[in-house]
Amino acid sequence: MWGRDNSFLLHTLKILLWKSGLMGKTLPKNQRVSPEWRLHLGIRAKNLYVYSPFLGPFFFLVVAFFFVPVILIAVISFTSMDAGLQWNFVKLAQYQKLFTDRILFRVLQNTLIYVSCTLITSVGSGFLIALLTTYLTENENIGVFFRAIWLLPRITPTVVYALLILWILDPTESGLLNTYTKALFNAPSQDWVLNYPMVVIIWLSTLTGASYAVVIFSSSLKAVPRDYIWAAAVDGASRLKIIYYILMPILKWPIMFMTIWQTLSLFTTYELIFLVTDGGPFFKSETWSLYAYHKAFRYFEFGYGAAIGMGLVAMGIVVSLLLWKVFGFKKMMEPSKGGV
Amino acid sequence: MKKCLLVVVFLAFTLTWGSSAWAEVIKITVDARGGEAETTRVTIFNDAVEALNKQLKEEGSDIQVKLQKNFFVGDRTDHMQRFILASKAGVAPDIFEENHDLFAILAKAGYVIPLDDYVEKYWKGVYDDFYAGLWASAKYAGKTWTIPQDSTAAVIYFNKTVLKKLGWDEKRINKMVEDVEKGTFTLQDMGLLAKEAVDKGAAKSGIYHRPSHGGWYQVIYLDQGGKLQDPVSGKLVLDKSSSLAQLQFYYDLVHTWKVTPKGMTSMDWRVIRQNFLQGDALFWLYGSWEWGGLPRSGYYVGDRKVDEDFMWENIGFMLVPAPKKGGTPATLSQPFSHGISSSSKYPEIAFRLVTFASSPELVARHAILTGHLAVRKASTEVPMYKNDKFTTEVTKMLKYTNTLPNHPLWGKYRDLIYQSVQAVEVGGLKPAEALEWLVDQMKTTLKDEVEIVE
Repeated sequence: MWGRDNSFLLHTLKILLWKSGLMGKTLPKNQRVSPEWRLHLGIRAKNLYVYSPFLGPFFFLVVAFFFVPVILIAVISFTSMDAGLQWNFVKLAQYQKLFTDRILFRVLQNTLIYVSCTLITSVGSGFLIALLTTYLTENENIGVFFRAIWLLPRITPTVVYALLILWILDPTESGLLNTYTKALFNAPSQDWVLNYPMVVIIWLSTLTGASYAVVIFSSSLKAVPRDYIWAAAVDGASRLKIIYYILMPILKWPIMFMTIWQTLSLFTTYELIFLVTDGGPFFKSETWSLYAYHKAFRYFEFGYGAAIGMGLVAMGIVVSLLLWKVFGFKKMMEPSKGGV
Repeated sequence: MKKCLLVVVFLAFTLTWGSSAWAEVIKITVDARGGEAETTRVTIFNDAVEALNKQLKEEGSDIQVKLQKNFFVGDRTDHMQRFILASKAGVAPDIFEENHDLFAILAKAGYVIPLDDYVEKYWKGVYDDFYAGLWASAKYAGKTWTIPQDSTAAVIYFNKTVLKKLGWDEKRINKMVEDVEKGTFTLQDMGLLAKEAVDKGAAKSGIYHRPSHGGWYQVIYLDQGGKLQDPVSGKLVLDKSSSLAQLQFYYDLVHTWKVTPKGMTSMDWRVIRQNFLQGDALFWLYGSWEWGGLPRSGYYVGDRKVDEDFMWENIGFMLVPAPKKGGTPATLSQPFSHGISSSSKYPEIAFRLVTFASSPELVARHAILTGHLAVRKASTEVPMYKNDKFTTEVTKMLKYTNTLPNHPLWGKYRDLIYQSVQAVEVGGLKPAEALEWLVDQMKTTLKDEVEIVE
C-alpha cells in the first residue's frame, strides 16, 4: 500500500498523515518512503498537490461563479443581446452608448455620493462603535451585547430588512417614524423615502456596513498589545490621544482593508436600493449597479447592461489603486524598521 | 368453463379500462399571471380539458390530455422573464398568457408560434364570433400570435360617499356620468371637482392613478388625440403636443390642483385600494377589472366587508373625460391573451385547448368573476354575463376604446412615459422640461423605431 510505485496522491496523503502524527511516528522499514521521494513529494505536494484536494472545490466555485461570469459579461457587452438571447456582435456600440446616455451622468453622480457618504459613515461609525464596545468599555459582556445588537442588520435577510424599514418609514400617520415625530415634535407626516431617497439608502447601508466594521475593528483592537496603552497612560496620555496616536496607526491595515472592501462592496450593492427606492423617484437614488440591473433584467438590454457592468469593473480597479496609493500600500508592505 | 370465464373477464376488463390504459397521456401546461382574484385565467382550463378529452375520445384518438396549471402573482416583466428562460431551456409552458403587448417581443425572439393556420382551421363557430376590433391586438408583423382571453376598459372610479359629502345626490352623480359621455364634463372639470373635495375636507386626495409602470398612463395621451403607432410603418409614435398635454395633466394633479399625493408613483397597491374604498380619495383612474377583484380581496371599510353590494352603493364609474368641452371621452383596452410556446411538443393540441377555453360560457365566467369584458359576442348572451349590470355598462364604453401597440420596443416606450410622469410629479421638472427629456430618451433608446411628430 505504501510502496514507491503507488500514486502521487496516496504518497502525498501518506506524508500528510505521517507529519500530522495520525499515522504514528514510525513505519516498518519496507513501508517507508525513501528520502529522495520524500523530498520530491514534499516540495511538489507543498506547492500544489497538498493543497489541491482542499482548495480544489473552492477554486472550482470561484472560477465557475466569479471568473467565468466576468468573462461572459465582458463578451456579452460586445453584443446587442436582448430578450431573444441572441449573440449579435456589435463591436463597441454598447460602450459608445455609455457616453451618450444622459441618465448615466446622473447615475454616476448618485453612485459617487452614495459610496463616499456610506463609506465615511459606515467605516467611521464601525470604528467608533468598536472603540466604545471594546476599548472604552471595561465590562466585556456589555461590549459583546452591544456588538451583537449591531450585527442584527447584517444577519437579517435583505428582503426582511427592507420591509421592516419600509414599515418604519411608512408615509402615512401609522408609520413608526411619523408616529414618533408627531409625538415628539408635532411634525406632520412625511414620505421619507420619497423626499429623502438618498439619505434613506445611505442610512440603511451604513447600518449594515458598520456592523461588519465593528467585528473587524473589535478583533483588531483586542490584538493590540496592552503594554502600549498602559505605557501611554503612564506617560499621561488621555484616551483620545491614545486612540489617535497609538490605536489608529496600529489599526492602519484593518482600516485600509475595511475602506477598500466597503468601497468595492458599495459599488456593487443594489439589492437594498432596489427593494427600498428602486432607484427612484425619477433616478434620484439610481446607482450604477442598479442601473445595470434595470437595463439587463427590466428592459432586457443584456448587451448594454453588461457594458454598464464592465464600467463598474473599471471603476472598481481605479478606485482600488487610488486607495492603495492613499494608504501607502507599498510602504506598508515594506519590512518595519525596528520597533512597532 | 373456467378458462372461458377468465377470457370473458379479461376481454371485458381490456375493453373498459384497458383501452384507456393504452391511451397516450400528454401533459399540457398553461401558465398565466394575474392578481389574487384572477385565478380563473387557469381554472377555466379544467372544463376546457374535459371537453377536449371527450372530443379526442369521440374522434377515436388515443391521446388524452393531462393539464398542469401555473399561476403567477407578480410583475409582468418577471413573468415574461421566467417564460423566456424556460423557453431557452426548452421547458416553457405550452400555453402562455400575458398582456397582448408583450407578445411582440416573444414573437420577434421566436418563443411563440404564429397561429394563423390554426385560427383559420378552427375559425368557423369560434373565432368568427370574436370582436373584430380585438384581432389588432393579436397581430404583429402581419401575423397572428395570440388569442385574446379577455378585454378591459380604463375607467374613472369615483367614491359616491365623498360626492355626497359635497352635497351631491344620486341624480347629480348620474348626470356627471352622462355629461362625461356627452363631452360636457372635461378633465379640467374633474380636476376642479377633486380640488373642491380636498379643500372642503370631503377627501384627503382628489385623484389617484396607478402607481407602477403600465400602459394605462397613455389613456390621457390618447384622450388628447395622440397616436401610439403608425399603422403603415408599424413604428411607435410620440405626438409631442398630446404628450405635453398629458404631462401637464399629471403636473396639475400634484402641483396645481394638489389633488394627488406627490408619492403617487411609489404608493402601495393595497393602500391605494383601501384609501379609495374608505373615501380618502374621490377619483381613481384604473381598470375595469378592479370591480370584480375588490369584493374578492378581503377589504373592509369600518366593519363592513367590501362586497358587490358595497360597490354598487358607494362606488361609481365613468369614461375618462374629454380634454375639452365638446370632445370625445376615451377609454383603453388591453386584452390578456394566450400564446403557444415554440417549444411546445403538441402545439395543435394546446391550441385546441385554448379553443375550448374560449367557449362562450367559459369566456363569460372568467369575465364576470374577474371584472373583465368578453372577447366574443356569444358570451354576452350567456345569462351570467347578460345579467351582470357592471359588465353590460362597461361593454358600452368600448365604442370609445383604443388599444396599445404590438411592438418589441413598446415596453421601453411605456416605461419612458412612466418616468416622464414621475419627472413632473416628483422629479422637479416642468411639463416642457419633462417633454424635452422624454423626446431625448425616446430618440436615444428607440432610435429608428419611433417617430416624433409635432
